Parts: sequence; C-alpha cells; structure tokens
Amino acid sequence: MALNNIEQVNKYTCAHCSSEVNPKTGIYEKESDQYFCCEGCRSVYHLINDEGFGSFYTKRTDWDDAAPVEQVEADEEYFETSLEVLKNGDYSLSIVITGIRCAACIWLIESSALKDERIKSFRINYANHKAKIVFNPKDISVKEVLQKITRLGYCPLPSTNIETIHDKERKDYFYRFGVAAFFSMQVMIYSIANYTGYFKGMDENLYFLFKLLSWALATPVLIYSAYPFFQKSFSAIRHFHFTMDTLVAIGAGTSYLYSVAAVFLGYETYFDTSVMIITLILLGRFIEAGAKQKGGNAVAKLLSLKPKNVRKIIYEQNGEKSYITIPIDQLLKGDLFEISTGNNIAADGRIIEGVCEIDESMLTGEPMPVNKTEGGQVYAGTKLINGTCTVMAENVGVDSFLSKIAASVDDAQSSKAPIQDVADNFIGKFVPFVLIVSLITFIYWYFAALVGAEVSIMRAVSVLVIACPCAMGLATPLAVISATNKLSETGVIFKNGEAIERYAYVDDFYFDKTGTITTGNMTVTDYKLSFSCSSVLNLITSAAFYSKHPASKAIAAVNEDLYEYEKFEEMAGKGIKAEIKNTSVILGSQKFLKENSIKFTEEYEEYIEKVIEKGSTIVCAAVNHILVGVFAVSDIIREEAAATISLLQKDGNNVSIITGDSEKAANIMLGNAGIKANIYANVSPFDKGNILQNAKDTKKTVMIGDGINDAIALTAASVGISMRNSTDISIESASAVLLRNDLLIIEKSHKICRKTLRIIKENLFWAFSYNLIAIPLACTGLIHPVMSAAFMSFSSLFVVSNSMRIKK
Amino acid sequence: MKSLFILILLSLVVGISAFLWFILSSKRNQFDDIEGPKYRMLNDDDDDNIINKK
Repeated sequence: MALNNIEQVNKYTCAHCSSEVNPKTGIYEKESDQYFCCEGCRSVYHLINDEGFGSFYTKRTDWDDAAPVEQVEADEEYFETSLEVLKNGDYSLSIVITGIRCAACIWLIESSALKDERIKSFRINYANHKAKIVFNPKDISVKEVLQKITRLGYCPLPSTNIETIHDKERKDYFYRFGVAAFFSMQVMIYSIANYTGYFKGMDENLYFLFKLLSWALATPVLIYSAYPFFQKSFSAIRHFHFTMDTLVAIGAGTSYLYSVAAVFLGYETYFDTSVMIITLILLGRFIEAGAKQKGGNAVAKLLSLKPKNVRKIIYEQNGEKSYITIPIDQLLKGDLFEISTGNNIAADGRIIEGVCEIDESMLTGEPMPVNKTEGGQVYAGTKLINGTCTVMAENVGVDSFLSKIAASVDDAQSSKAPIQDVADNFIGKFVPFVLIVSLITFIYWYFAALVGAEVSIMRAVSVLVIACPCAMGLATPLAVISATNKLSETGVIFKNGEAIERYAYVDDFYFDKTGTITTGNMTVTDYKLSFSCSSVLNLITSAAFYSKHPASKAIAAVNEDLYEYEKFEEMAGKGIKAEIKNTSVILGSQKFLKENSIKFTEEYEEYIEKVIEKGSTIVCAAVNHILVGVFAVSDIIREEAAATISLLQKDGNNVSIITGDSEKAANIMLGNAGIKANIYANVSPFDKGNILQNAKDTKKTVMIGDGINDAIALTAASVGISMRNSTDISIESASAVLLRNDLLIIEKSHKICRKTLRIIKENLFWAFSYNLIAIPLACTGLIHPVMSAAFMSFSSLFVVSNSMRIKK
Repeated sequence: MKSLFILILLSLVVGISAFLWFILSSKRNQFDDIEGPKYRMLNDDDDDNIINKK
C-alpha cells in the first residue's frame, strides 16, 4: 500500500478554544507542548493558568466548537446607560456577557474578577448570562472592570431592554397568578366545607362564617389578580367588542357580586367559581409569557453572533497606516476599514484595495462565494471567505442594505392585522347573546311575574354566572398549552398561540430553496479520477483542507487522511496551488488550470459539460501538472425534502419553491430530486415579500426560510417558519422556529395544529352545550345550586381532558 | 366549636405568612437564577481563589 510509507499528520486542536489547528500556520509552544490557533488564544491560555484557574480546562464540559479569541476593546461610553449609582456611592453595572458557553466559563469570569479586591461583587446569571457588578468608582474604573472580562476573550455588552420587558410581563403574571392560586386554595377549603354541609347539614352560624371567610379571601383575587381582565374588558366594552378578557371579567365579576349579595340574602355563594376561573386563566397566560421569553432568549443569543467591532484604518500624517478596533456603531460614512479572511463585513461599501471572495449567501441565498475586486460593492453582514481588502464605508448603520431589510420586516410586522382567534370570534357573539338573555330574564320576572326587584336581579345575575363558566374561558388556553408542549417535542417552537391557530388554516406552502430545501452546504456529488490510487486522492484532499472555500471544504470531506504541505498559495476566485510531499498540486476552476497550461482530454471535457448541465460547480485537480481528476460540487437537497413536499401535496396543499437562482438551475436540481412544485426563480428579497403579500390576499400562506433574504417573506406570510441555523433576523421575523433541521417537522406540526384547532372548536362546542341546558334553567330560576356547581365542574373537566388529547 | 375558630385562625396565619415569605423572596430576586446554584455548589469551595465577598 502506498499509504504506509507516508508520514501521517494528526489533526491538532487549539489548547484554549479547541478549534482545529493547522500545524503549519498555528502556534506551537515547546514549554507547554500545546498548539494554539492564534495569539489571542495563547495569551488567554497563559493568563488563565498564571492566575491559577487552570482547572477551567478540565471543568468545561459542554464546550462547543468555539471561535478563537478575538481581543476586543470595550468602550466605556457604550456602557453609560447600564450604570446605576448606589446609595453608598458604589456603581452597579448591568451587562450581558457573550461568548459564555458552559458553566465553567461563568466560574472563570466570576472568580478571576473577584480575585481583584476592588470589585465588591460579581454575579452572573446562569440562565441569561446577565451580570451584575458592584464596585466603587474611586477604586477602579469602568474600563478596568470591563477589561477583566475582555482579557479572557469574552465580550461584555450593555444590557438590553428587550428582555426586561418580557421579564416584567412574566413576573407580573407570576405575582398575579401566585396571589390567585394561594387565595383560591383557601377559598376552596371553605367552599368544600359548605358543599358537604349542604348534604350533611351544618351549623347555621358556621355556614355563615365560612361564607364570610370565602368572601374575605376571594376579594384580593378579584382586586389584584383579576385587575388586568377588568381593565382590558372596560375598554373593549366601550367599543362593543367582546373578547376572552370580557368573558372572564363578566364571569368572575358577576359571580363575585352575586355571591356577595347571596351572603346576606342566604343563597348559595359562588366565590370558588369566581376565583378558580381567574387562577386557571392566569396560569395559561403565565405559561405563554414563559414561552415568549424562551423565544426571546434564542434571539438574544443569535444577536450576539454578529460582529460587534470593526478594524478601522487610520492614515497618520506621515502616511503610515495604523489600525484601531472600534464598535460597529462608531463607524462613519467614508471611513476605511480592513476585512480579512473569515470576517463579517460591518457596513455596505466599495472595495478600495484588494481581491477577495465573499459569501453573500445570507443576502442572495447563493452558496457559492462571489469574486470581488477593486470597485466592487460589498454588503454589510456578508462574509469574506478568502483574501484581504480595504473597504470604504458607504452606507453605515441604519442605511445599510441589511438594515433596510430589517426595517421593511418591521413595517410588515406592524401592518400585520391581528387575526381574531376562534374563541374570540365565538365569544364576540356569545357575550351579547348572554347579556340579552339575562336582561330578558330580569324583565320577565320583574314586570311579568312580579316577584320583586331583589329576586329578579338575583335570577338575571345567575344567568350571567351560569352562562360564563370556566370551560369557555379555558377552551383555547388549555388546548394551546397542550399543543405547545406537543409541538416542541416534535421539534418546533411557536411564539404564540395565535400562530398555532393560523398555521392550522394554511394550505399554501412556500419554501426557500437554498438552506431550506437544500442543506446550504457544498458537497461533492460526483467525481472522476484518472488514478484509483488513494495517495493521489490524499494529495488533493489535503490541499483542499487548508483552504476555507466551501468547495474546498466539500472536497476535503471526501477523505480523512491529511498530509502537511511545504508550500501553499490561494488565489481568491481562482484556486489553490500547493506543494505537498514534493509534489505540486493545483486545484481550481477549469480556467485556472488552463492558465497553468494543463491539458484537458476529450473524456474530461465531456464529463465537465455533463456535470455543468446538472447545475453543479466544477473543481479540477492536477498533480505534477497532469490533470488527475474532476469534482462536481453542489448544494445538496435535504433527504426528507421530496417526502415532505409530496406528503403536503397529498393533503391537498399547494407547494411552491422560491429561489434567487436561475430557473434552469432550479428546475434541474429539483427535478433530479423528484420534487414537483411551482418554482419562482430569479427572485430578489423584496420580491419574495411581494409574492407572499399577494398570495395572502386569496390564501393562507406559510413561508419556510432561513436567510436574511427570506426575512420580509417570513413576516409577510400568515405564518413564517425559520430553520434552526437561520440568521437572527429571520428567526425574529418568523412566528415559529424549527428546533431541528428536519423538514418533516413542518408536515407533522401542520397536522398537530389542525388537530389543535379541531379540539378548540370541540371545547367551545361542549362548553356551549352545557350552557344551552343550564341557561334556560337559570332563566326560570329552577336551577339547583348544587346542579349549577356540577355543571360548571363537568364542563371544565371535559375541556381539560379533551385538551390533553392533543398530546397523544 | 372554639377549637375550630382557633384552628381556622391559625391556618390563615400560617398560610398567609408562608405566602408573604414567598412574595418577599421573589421580590428579592431569589428566583431569577434557578440554574446557577447547582453549578456554584460544585465550584465554590474549590480552592482559595474564591473570596466570597458579600
């Protein structure tokens, strides 16, 4: 075997960030026998060890593949809004720390900072990575405090407000629910005593005392916990608009008032009904607020992946260049900045100097990088794959193309008409009906039956009490809670219950092509080699391994073995030239190889033509100036894509695929995978939004996408679903996020949402049926107190158990 | 009969004080980080590096 006499190279990892290190370009340190990927990692590694926190490396457990350390300068001014002056003159600084990957990171940051006597307290929240630091400004400056974090390679950010709004909402519901739950339990104790007393007989005084106690205990629930319901329903009633809040307010309010009167008149009281409905509805709202917060956390985490800093170039008076790293929002129009391999571009601009390859997939959806030279336009948020160049910023901050997309997403979001959900629709008609019946009851008893005001009012109110039971209020929230659980088990998180209902109505599916139908990664789909000898393949894949181009990565993945190189040169947009084991290896486009006077045989020319027709990209390889192989590289379609689409179509849904690619390429690619769907080709991000906007007029649509170019469409659709590895803006614009990149989830969750809608309707139907029996009885004044209590609990029980069926 | 009144009163006092205690601890943000303690427990007494300043 040829392999045996060739020395193999192990794959090394960086001692700090554990990313793969190329032994040629990485740093090897003899004293510690460790490899480092960059100086940043090396200095952090030593810092950690010197301060005696070396155990950090054994402590960290769930350490993902991390990016190498990029030392950042934290600007003091940036943090002014996060400072709070305490009574004793100390400062309290609230920040979010990004780059934290495991519990050991928190331990490291906290304990290394606390080693400094001047910092009084430093506590990081494990759940959201927010930190609170207390120190005296006379001892230590804000800058120094921030350096404690940055020197370890973590990045402090001023605490944002977005999360705190969610926090507040959740906390508010938490208190209101807590109060309601506690007091309704107390009320239950006395209510149950009174119910049993009804059958067994009980002391009159005790009976009266228990009523008084229930009254006293129910009052805080009505005043504090139910306050939001009353507040919302007052404004709703003024517009003759009845919602769930109105129903809860009327149900709980009337049964409370009825019971207060009943205490004195000697009727049965319903304080328990009044407080239970409030408690259960608040529980639903509390859980929903929690789900919202979870969604918010995911967005905050993704936002932290964005580049926060930019390397600005300053020309000194003597013409010398110097670099300064500044936060992205301090970059001005006309500033020059440098970008190098692997950087995300901070602003729209024009290349002044240099040649590079840029991955614009997030904007265009196209996975292959684009070559740019002097004068070329680059866009914020795109990634430089290879090369180094100087860019003059043209549109910075809110003016950049990226921000414009974000702004139109915002527009689409705010202009989105909230849909009225099934229950609200139903309640809107039901509440006025009940009010009228109640009024008729009063009129009949007062004017026709002449039973007196007191009895007439009690009977009219009892209609309201009976007609507005828990069941109707619980019909939706319980089903939504149960569906949310089931959906997250299946692999998708819906941001709110409204989206679940809307998704049930959807019958028009729009998929983005790149990154959604396809994996978005380049893969070798076919290759032709002149030699079947593995050492030739090894030479090619080794050369490809050292390049960052997606096509090279795909080729490198073909083979595990790796050789070291003697010489390596990468030409942006063309290919690579390397010398490995004293053999020259050239890898690149057909044109690049021809430039290097490598001959192509007829056989290969034919093969290349065939492959290009299929829509793949060609990478040719030459060893010792002889063409040895051709690789076909393309973005492959997800395995389950065809199955998902045919399942959806079988269910009678319309499926379309939207792409920025040419129609021919899309047709060939999808045709090969056996996908039959409407194809919209050559579509720009803004047109994507228009397609969805127009389709929405006639149909209920869903958009499934991942890139920034899909963000507008995701918002414009009735329901937007973003993929797991999506860009942050598309996750924010979507109403649901997949937890795994499995398209079948889309089909499965559609079924679950439909089932949920059916169950909500069933719940409403049954709750209404109970009312249909109970209302006439209440009108006639014939209803037995125990019977009405039984009706109420039966209908609630039915709704609870019916909602649980979603989980099955 | 008298014992019943005392018991009712007692149950209310115990219940409400437990409830107030819960509200108080919640107001002091003790439920903000429910993830942390399980890690801190393992890390805190590691070596002399940690100076617990309160």
